[in-house]
Amino acid sequence: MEWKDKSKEELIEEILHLEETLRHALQKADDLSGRISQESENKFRNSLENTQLLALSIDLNGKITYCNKALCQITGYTPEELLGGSIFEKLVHPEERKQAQDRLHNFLSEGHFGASNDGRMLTKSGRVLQIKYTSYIMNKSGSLPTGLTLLAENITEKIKIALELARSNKQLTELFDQAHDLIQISDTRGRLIFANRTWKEKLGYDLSIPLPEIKIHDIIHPDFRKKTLSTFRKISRGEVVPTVETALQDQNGKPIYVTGNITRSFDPNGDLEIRAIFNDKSESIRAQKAQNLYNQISSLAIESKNLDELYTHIHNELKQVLEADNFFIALINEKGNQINFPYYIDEHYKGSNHVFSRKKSKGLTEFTIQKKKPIFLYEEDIIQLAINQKIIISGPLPKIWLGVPLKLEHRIVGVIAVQTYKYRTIFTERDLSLLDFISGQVALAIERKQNEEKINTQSARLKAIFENSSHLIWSVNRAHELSSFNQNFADLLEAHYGLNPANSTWKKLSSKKRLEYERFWSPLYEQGFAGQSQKLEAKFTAANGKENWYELFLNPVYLEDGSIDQVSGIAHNITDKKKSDLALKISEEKFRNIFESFQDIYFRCNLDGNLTMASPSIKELLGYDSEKVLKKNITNYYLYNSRTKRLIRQLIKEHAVRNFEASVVRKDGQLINCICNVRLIFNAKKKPIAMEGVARDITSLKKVNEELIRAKELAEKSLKVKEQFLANMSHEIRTPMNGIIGMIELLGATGMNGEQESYLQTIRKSSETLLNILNDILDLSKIEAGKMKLRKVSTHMPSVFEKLYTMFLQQSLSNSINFRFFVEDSVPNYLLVDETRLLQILSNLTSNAFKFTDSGGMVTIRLKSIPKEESFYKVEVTDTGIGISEENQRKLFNNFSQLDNSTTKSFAGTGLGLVISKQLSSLMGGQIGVESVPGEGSTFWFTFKAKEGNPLEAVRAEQSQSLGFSQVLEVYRPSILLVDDNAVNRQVAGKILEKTGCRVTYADSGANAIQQVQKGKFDIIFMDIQMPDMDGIAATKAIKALNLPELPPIIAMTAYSMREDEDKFLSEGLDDYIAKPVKAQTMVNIISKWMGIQDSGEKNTSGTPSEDWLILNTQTASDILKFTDHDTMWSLYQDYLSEVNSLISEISLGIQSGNPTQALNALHTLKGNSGTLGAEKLANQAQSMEAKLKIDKLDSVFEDQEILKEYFSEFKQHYRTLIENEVINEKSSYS
Amino acid sequence: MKSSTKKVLIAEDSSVIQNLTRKILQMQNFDIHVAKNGEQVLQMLAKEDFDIILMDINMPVMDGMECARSIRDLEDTKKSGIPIIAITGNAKNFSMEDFRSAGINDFIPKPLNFDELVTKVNQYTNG
Repeated sequence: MEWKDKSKEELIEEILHLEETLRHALQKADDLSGRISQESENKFRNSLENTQLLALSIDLNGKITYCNKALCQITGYTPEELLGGSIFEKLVHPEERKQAQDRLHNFLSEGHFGASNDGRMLTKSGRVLQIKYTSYIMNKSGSLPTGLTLLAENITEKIKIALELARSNKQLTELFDQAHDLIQISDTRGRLIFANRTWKEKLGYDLSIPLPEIKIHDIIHPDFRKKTLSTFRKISRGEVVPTVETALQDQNGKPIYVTGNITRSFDPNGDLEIRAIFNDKSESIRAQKAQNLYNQISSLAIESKNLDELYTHIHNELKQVLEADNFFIALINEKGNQINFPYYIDEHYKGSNHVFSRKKSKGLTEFTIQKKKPIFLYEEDIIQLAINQKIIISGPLPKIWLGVPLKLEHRIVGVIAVQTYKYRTIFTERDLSLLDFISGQVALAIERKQNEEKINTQSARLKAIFENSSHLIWSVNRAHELSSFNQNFADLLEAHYGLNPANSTWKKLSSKKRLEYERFWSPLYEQGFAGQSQKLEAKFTAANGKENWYELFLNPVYLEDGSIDQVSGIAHNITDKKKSDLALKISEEKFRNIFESFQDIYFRCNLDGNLTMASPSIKELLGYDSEKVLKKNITNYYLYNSRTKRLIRQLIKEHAVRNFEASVVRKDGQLINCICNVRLIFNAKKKPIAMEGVARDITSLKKVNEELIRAKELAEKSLKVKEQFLANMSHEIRTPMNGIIGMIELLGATGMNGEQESYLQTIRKSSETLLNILNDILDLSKIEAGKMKLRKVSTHMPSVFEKLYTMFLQQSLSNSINFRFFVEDSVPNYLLVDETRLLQILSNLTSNAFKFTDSGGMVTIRLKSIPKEESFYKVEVTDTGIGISEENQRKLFNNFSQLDNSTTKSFAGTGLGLVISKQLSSLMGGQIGVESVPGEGSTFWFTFKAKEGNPLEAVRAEQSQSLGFSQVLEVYRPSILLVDDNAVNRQVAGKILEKTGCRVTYADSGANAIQQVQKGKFDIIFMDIQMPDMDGIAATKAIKALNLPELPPIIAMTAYSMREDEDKFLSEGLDDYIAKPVKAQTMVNIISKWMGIQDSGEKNTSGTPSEDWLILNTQTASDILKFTDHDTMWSLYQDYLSEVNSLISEISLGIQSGNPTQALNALHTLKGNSGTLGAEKLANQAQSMEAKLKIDKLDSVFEDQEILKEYFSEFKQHYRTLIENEVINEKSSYS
Repeated sequence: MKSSTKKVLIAEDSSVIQNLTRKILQMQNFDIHVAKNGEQVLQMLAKEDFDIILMDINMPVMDGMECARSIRDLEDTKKSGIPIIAITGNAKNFSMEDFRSAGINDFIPKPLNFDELVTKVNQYTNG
């Protein structure tokens, strides 16, 4: 191979080889120690002659001793010109000669081979050759060098090539660097060997520093990594891959889309390297994406179901193109004062869409709107804006903020914005451009969607109206075929024509129906198509006969060109309205008829009093025309006075006034009396709006009324007269009855034979029956007059029933009726009842029971308390009699009803018993009733209320009642004054009294009685009330006025058995009352009663002095003062004191000396003078001691004496003060 | 006006009642004479006439009832007809008939009611 063909590297290799050879040779030469050196030198030279190397030998001075052909050839010198010449002069560039000489000198002195050196060689023509040389020191004979040989290689060409190469490399690098392509070279192990500037820039490496060790793997975007690395492997295996599409990623991981070629080659070392030249497609992809996005957004507007979805879609699409994680859409409201954020996604507002709105303020959004252009702001820009008060920062500060106004026809409707909080390289102006690029489309899409939603809402509304309204809606084309209809209309057609418009047309109707249809609809549609709007009411009769009224509206539908394409119809069912209209009409007519035939005056006026309505009757009653009074004030038509004034106030307060009497003015000026009902009329808000009223002429009514009142008064008077008559009659009847019954009793005592006795019994029975009837009638009239009053006293209940039992015992025995009574344990022994009335009911019921019970039957009486009802008792009278039917049970308690008129005779009675019982039980707070089964018997029951009685209060009465009259007689021998003007009555009562042991004094008049009462001492006076000259009341008053020392009770005897009379008597001073005709038992009872009280009174005075007795009854002192004077009074009391002193001594002496008479006398005197001077305590103590001493009761005599003395000293101590305080001071204060 | 002053004899062993009765009746313009017991009454009556005698029934020596009977038994009809009114603290022990049988016209119970006393004395002296 020729040198020139060889590469530089090959040459160097060759030279080094040669050097090696030479070195060996030289070593050999050295070894031969000169002997062979010449020979080897020659050999060396010969070999040099054939080489392309430039060979030259110089001596120590630089004189050329040898040169080979190649040297001569290249330098242009002949060997001759060079041999002997100086190397420095011939071949060394003058500038380098000195340097070269020094170097030679160094070589020589160092004495060994020099290293290979670059240098320059000058040719004959002065051309400079670049050489690479090696020098060898020549040792001719051992130690000292004789010269040196230079072997040089002309490397001028090599340098040139190298220079060229370097230049071209540089150019290539520059070319690479300036290329827009990304160029990289990597080795088979995936390490990057080379990358051009563009590559570095794109991937974000600093240009000023060398690339670090980078692996291909890391710079390929993960999305593409697998595929691209596989491509790399394929290519390294030698496969040819046409065009590669992939994405690199920058240091932030952002993808850089590239296409390009990847090839393999070997480096000079033969190592495989992969060269890749990529073209950055990001921009075009971005552009493409932007375009896609642009298109996408417009189609999104159509695809999205609603605005929200649209926003989401836009955002999603946007995220495909840029780092739009934080994205929002802001829209200005129509007024322009508020900003709504229908879509706001921000990493700081986690959760989905952060929808909100706010008033327009100074946010970045507003700033963008204000600037009307896209805004790209870095963090610091935003801060600066805030510092300049252009904006107000709210919320977290983004690293970059991109905002683009949304424009619609030059109007800014909002802003879309993207921001990042991550790092500032994430967006570029390009991203802003992209946003700007799509903003118009977004605005359009939003608007479109907004409109669409509006339309949807609108059409939904319309549809709702169309389908859900109660209206019937339809339209027809020129062929009268339905072009639209709602269900309501379809229902109508179905109901009335049997036509289902959804799958049929009217033309398919049966001929009859079709005719009917055409006849109705065709003219209407025709008119519609003629441009006429129509409104009508029509009646449709459905197949089932139901009639429906519709109101129909038909309107032509005009096209834009003015032609009529369709006729629309709308109708609604007015059946109800129609019906109510009709009903209203009827009712109006009715009302009008009433109104017009109204006899009273109906009027209505507003709140000012102006009449708005008046019934035609006003003409007849007042003489005015009803039309003419309208709008006139109502005050013109009545007499205005204080009463009518009050009416207005009352109206306002109570809203209505009834039965108000007013004087209404007739047209002729006459006043008529009217009674009015007036009320306020209120509106829905409860505010009064008018007044209405009815006025009735009551002139005649008043007259009638007055007559009625007169008639009523008359009737009442008559009734009173009747009642009076009844009472009088009973009195009149009872007076002779009194005689009859009294005489019967007397007659019975005269001793008669059996026949006479039985006649007398019949007379007695009849008389008693008659008396019972009379009493019943009187009781009833008393009750009905409300004059029956209960006198409740504590009563021993078992005794009441014992009494009842005694009353009917005879009857039960004679009729063989089993008779029994029970008083249940739950009933208290004593109850507060009116015994007489209770017995009246009991005997009524019992007597009935006996009456209707046959021989062998049973009558049971039971008294029980009613459980759970306090103080409520029930009596049941059960018989085994004939029973009473239900129907008759109801009649039982009515006045004057006897069950079976036919039995009246056999079951004698007035029929009033039950009525009276009913009334009495009601008075007692109870009820009465009957339970009966005809044929089995009846239970008559009644209830009454009664509090528990105090046994102590009942003791006296009980005792006196249990006391036989003879006992009373034995003790008291009652002395009776009997006052009666009627000799018969006097005789009857007198004999009764005498027979029962009384001493009777008679008086035939009041005056006589007064005389008698003064002559004798009586225990009781029986006083007839009705007497000529002086009646019983006057006589009683006169007797009372006598101030007898012991005034006996005066008992009224009268035929007036009504209680109100009794009350009157009692109030007039009489003490008690018995009804005539008197009966023995009644008289005994009343005497016992009054004697009993006296008896107990006696006991009381002889008992222990009660607290009530006074030291000094100052009344007595003042009485003394009345009859005497102060001195006398004081001296009397002085006398009294000294007398009592001696009396007490006498008493003591009498007792001690066993002379009770002395003591008794002294006590008696002490009792008398103490009482007379008002020393009550002393008087009573004396009386008590006297009583005990009389019966030789001496057990407490000494104690009693001590008490007596104590009372005496008490009196002495206090009497003066008492008299002074209570008598003298009182008196002087009055004088 | 009374035509002449009536003479009243009061027979009462209790000086208190005696004085009281005297004082009251003196105020009523009566001429009052007093006796301590029934014997004194009969002695005084023997010497002079009285218009009325008020007599305590319960008196020592001779009680009112006995005294009254003695008076009624006097031969001098003027003296024996003098109205006698008994004053008694035991009115209930006697009936009016008891009093009448003893010849006592009326009685006044003790304790004395002064009105009654005056009324009765007036009544029997004016009759």
